[in-house]
Amino acid sequence: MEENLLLVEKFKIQGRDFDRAGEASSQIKTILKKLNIPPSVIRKATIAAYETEMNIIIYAYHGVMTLKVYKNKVKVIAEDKGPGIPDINLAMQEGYSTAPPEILEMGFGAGMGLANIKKNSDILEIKSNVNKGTTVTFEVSINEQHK
Amino acid sequence: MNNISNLHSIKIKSENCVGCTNCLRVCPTEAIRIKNGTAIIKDLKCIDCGECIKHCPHLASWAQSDDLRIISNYDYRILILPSSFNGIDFLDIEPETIFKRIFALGFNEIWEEGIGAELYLLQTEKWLEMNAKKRPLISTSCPSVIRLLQVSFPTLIPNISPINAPKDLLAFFIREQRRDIKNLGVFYLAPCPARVTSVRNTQGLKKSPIDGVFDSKDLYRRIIKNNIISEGKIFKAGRIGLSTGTIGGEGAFLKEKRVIKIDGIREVKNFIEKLEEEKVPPFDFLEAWACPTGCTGGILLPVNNISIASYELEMSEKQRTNDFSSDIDTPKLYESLSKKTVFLDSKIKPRPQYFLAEDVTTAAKIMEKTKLIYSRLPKIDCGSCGAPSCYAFAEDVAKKEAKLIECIFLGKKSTKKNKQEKKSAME
Repeated sequence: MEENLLLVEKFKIQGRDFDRAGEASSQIKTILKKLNIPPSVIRKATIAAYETEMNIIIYAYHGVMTLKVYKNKVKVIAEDKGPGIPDINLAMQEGYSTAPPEILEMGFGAGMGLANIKKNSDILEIKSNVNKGTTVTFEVSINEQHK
Repeated sequence: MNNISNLHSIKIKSENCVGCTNCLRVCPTEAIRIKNGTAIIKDLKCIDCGECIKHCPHLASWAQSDDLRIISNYDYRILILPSSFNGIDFLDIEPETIFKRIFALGFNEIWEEGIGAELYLLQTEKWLEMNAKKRPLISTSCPSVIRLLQVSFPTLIPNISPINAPKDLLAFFIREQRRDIKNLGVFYLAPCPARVTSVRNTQGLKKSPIDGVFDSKDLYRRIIKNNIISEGKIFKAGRIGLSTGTIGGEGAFLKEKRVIKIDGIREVKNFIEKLEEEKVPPFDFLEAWACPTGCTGGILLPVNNISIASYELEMSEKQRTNDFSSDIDTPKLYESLSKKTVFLDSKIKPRPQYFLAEDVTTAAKIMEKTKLIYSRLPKIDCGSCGAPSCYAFAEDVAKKEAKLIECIFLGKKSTKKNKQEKKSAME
């Protein structure tokens, strides 16, 4: 049992399921609101979670997002089965995208996803195996100043 | 003022309430529970949108306003008519006769709220020009939308316009114009419960400039029945002012800006969810109304059909000869108004009602408990327990505000799932 862990919630995400896009991050927002997490933390965590969710939908076959709420932080772990990211540093660059044309037509895949996750989180860790999948883990900390 | 809870104007007549679940389902903030066969409203959650009144077949849900007799406490009496008043079909009574009958009720002057709306829009346009950063700006016109932000979306409170709602702006303006009159009473005819509450329990204003607020339906009956007439002064709005009585009026004036318009509290709530998650393209101004079609859909407005009300309003707009009021030179005056008249004088405070407990550890425990309880419920949201959904019921039980035995299915074991379980056990 991890110290100060208060709540764990899992969300299954299906690749290319645009009809349900954003559902998991909306639910994450609802949960954090119900827990009375400071609004600025909710905002950052929800935006980062949305980008993470969209990355799975756009690029992967399927994945699971796990929300972990601690006394002092909100953590999201997103594990997917998919093509993986060959060069993480390149993928982190704003505007870099490998999204196919049909995705770009839908208004997604502008290459801001990972950069946005980084901007809205305090810790970001990306592990990837090409042709196997990617695990994105981010944390947003809850400081005293938020309260 | 009356010794009542001023947090909301919507009340339940327990003698009429049969404990059906109509109101329960339509409340956008899940503020209603049915306990012992009667609906009760959670005071802090109610945003006065009026959905429950609209859907109550037993006339148990109603809105409390002031008794017209209170005007006798004032020597000089001014009534502000909402812009949506012109959406009312007064059968064959001439507009001028309607005014004369209102004067006969004891009023010395009648002002159309549209004049306030013209000043409000001119000020809003100027504010948008001067402040390029704060976007989108959320209109203060619908008090129910403001309540929704306070209760469910406090992060968006900074986006609320700093400019007084049209009726308040006009009331301050009238007070300035009539400052020499002793014992002046300024009153407002409300098209909805939210506007009643916005006078009694102000948000962003230390004190309302309005002394009393009346129910439009009640005044309508008096106008129809009473054929006594009297004289008084009338101040009319122009086409622009009148047009704000229905959705699109504000947006049409701010046509140089990017305006998003929404009506109906459910649609408003859905949109604001998206706005909070930053999934909305950048825009300048949000014109959001709790009622369908805006104030012409107000629950206290005596109309049979809201589309007819919007139509009637448009017809009376066409009869006005000027864009702006011909009685008050609003385009000339708006820049010389005092700060007190134009701007809110205090902060709109968040009133968050969405969390399970103040403390995160306690809240997480309640959420875990809720999950466990929810897994045992039939998930058909029948409402028989008195909560709006199985999930809301599970939360109530976890918070010890309800008892598990109140779920009629847990006792009877007659849900689809249970039937299937029984069936498979027999096979």
